This record gives sequence, C-alpha cells and structure tokens, in this order.
Amino acid sequence: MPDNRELETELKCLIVEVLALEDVRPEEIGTDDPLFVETLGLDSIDALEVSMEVEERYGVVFHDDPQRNESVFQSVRTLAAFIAENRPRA
Amino acid sequence: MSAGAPAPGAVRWAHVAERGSSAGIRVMAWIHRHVPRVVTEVLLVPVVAYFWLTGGEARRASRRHFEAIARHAPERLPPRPLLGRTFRHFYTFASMLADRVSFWAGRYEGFDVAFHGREVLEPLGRDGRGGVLLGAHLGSFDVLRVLARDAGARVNVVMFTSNARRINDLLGALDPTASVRVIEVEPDSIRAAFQIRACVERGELVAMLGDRIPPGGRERSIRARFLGRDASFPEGPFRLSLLLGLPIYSCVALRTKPTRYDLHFERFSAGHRPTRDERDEEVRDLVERFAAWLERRTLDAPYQWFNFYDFWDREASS
Repeated sequence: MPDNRELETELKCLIVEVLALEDVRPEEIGTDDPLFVETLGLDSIDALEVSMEVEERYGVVFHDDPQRNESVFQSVRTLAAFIAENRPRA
Repeated sequence: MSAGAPAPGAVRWAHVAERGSSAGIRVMAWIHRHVPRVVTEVLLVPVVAYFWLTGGEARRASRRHFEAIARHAPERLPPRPLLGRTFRHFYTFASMLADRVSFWAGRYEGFDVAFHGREVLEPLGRDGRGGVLLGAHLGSFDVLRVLARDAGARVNVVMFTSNARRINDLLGALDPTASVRVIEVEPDSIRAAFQIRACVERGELVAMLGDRIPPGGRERSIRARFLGRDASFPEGPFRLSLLLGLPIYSCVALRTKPTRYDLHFERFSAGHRPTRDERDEEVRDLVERFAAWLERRTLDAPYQWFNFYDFWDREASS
C-alpha cells in the first residue's frame, strides 16, 4: 500500500478551501469518510468543483466514466490514490 | 396523473404529472392521436373539475399566484373568466399536459411552433462548446424537443427523480429519433456531475429548470424578488455555468393560441469562469436576473405558471 499521507492531508485542505466549508476543519475529515453522502453532505456541484481544482493543481484528468469517477471520489484515500497513480511525473 | 389524496403541502400538481406512469402517458399519447381535439377539450372539463375540487392546496396556491399579480402588476391580471381564474389555471395545465404528451411522442403535426431566437443557437454546433438550457415550470418546456430536432443540438435534461431511466426508455420508445436524453441526479451520488461535464465537453446542452429547489443535499437556494415578494430559487444551474464557464440560454414556450406555441430562446449569460471569490456574488446576480426574466415571462402568460404550491414559502420549496 503506497503511503499517500502527505497528499491526503493536502486534499483535505483543498476540499475545505475550495468548498469554503466554514464549520469543518481539514483534520476533521477522515481519510476513509465517504465524501459525498450524508456525513459531509457534499453534492454533485461540490464534486465538480473539487474535481476541477484537483485537475488544475495535480495535472490529472477525470475521464468520461461516471462510474469510475464515483469510486475515485469515494473518500480522500481513493482520491489520493488516483492522483498518485495518474499525475505526471516531474 | 395520480389521483391520490392531497397531502398538505404536497400537492404539486405539475410534479405529480411529471411522474405520471408510463402506461398513463402511452394511453394519453394514443388518445391524442386518435381522438379529435375538440372532444378531448370537453372531456377534460370533468377531469379538471375533480382535481380542482379535491386539490385544496393547489387551488390556494393558484389563488395566491393571481393575488400576487393583482398586487404587483394589476394591469396584467387577466379578466375573470366564467368559472374563475383558478379553474382556468387548472384547465390550462391539463390541456397543455395533453400537448406535452404529443411532444414527447415527437408529434408536432397540428401545432404551429414559432421559434424566436433560432440564430442564438447557431454558434453552438460550430464552436463545439455546450451550454446550460434554462427553463421553468412556465408554458411548455417540452417544446424544446422541437429545438433539439431542428437545430441538431443534443439536449440532456437533468432530473431529480428516481425514474429517469424509465423515462429514457419511454422516450426512446415513443420517438426513437429523439435527441433528448435524461440525466438523473440521485441523492448521495455524484455520478450526474461527471455526466453533465462530459455532455458539455461534447458540445451538448444541459437542460435544467430554474424555479424548483432539488431535494436533499446542501442548502442550495437563494432568495430573490418574484412578483413583489422573495422566493427561493435554486443556485445549481447558475453555479454550474460559472464553474464550467458555460453560456446560459433561457428557453420558454408559451401557448399563444389553442394550437400555437411561441418558443423564445435567448442568450441569458455569456459564460465565463470567475474566480472562486467572485463566484458567490455572480451566482446571486444571475439568480436575481433569472427571477426578473421569469417574472416578465409569467406576466405574459399568467395561466401558464405551473408551480401549484406556495412559491414564496421558504419551507414549501425545499
């Protein structure tokens, strides 16, 4: 299992920042928490917003595969794993 | 149409009809094809009377709608017809619902559809960039099928129902050449977001209604002035357009004669991507402009306003 801890922390900050979540601190988001169901209460528009920011910042592309994207956006852990795997190597 | 007992606050007539069973739609499509119009118009009277008599909540909502017009723009209030404005309101809804069924079936014979703003649509196909097609529960949004067919644009209708797949199948069965597809937004799923994005990247249109707050999720509504009072409007379509840098096209088809529709298609906003800090302000601005546009169009056709619940009530819209 690759260690993406740093990336995961970055993503939590990104989510809070991009969505301007006023009552959530990055460290309160569990790495395995489902992002887009009741717990955080994020919706489709939030997902779009996060996806665009992630693409810009990490140079990855979310392809037209809604089902796959849904599993990538499952949690901070799955999103970090996707980025780690797909980001262009420096 | 379902004839269930009207639960308080839940009688959203248009909503009930939208969810009409596919069998019901087939039956109505058949009637439309085989029964002369004048006969169906007469047959509608007792049906409407039933819904009018039993739909207390919807009737009150209708009355409030005309009261709002009387206060805000008295000169636009239609003269009182024989059976009263609320009855005429119900009747107009039912009669236009029958028209919708035939539009779903891809049949426009017998209808005269005047298309205003065709030229606005032309660059769409050329530069390959999609857009948001914004409508409301006013007039007939289904006439947009004409637009989709004539202009060769692919239209994806975003719906917040769980039977979108059934509707898709049904649309395919009724009119195999239809270039209209339904995207279903499910609660607790973000799949729709990526479907929407993929569509506009292919240069297609994403159609949404700007006067109904979708259920669940985050609070996504903004209060704006409508007919003199504040009402809740969804921010989704506007936020989406600013997020993806998409132009918004407003679209409304008003029935101007028994078999004539005037379809108005306008470029509502140019489509750019403001920074994150500017976005909230711009969303608000677009919502207010939309409310003003909707008010203007509603006053053009007060009987074709099909939100049969208290539109101004903060609770009712969520």
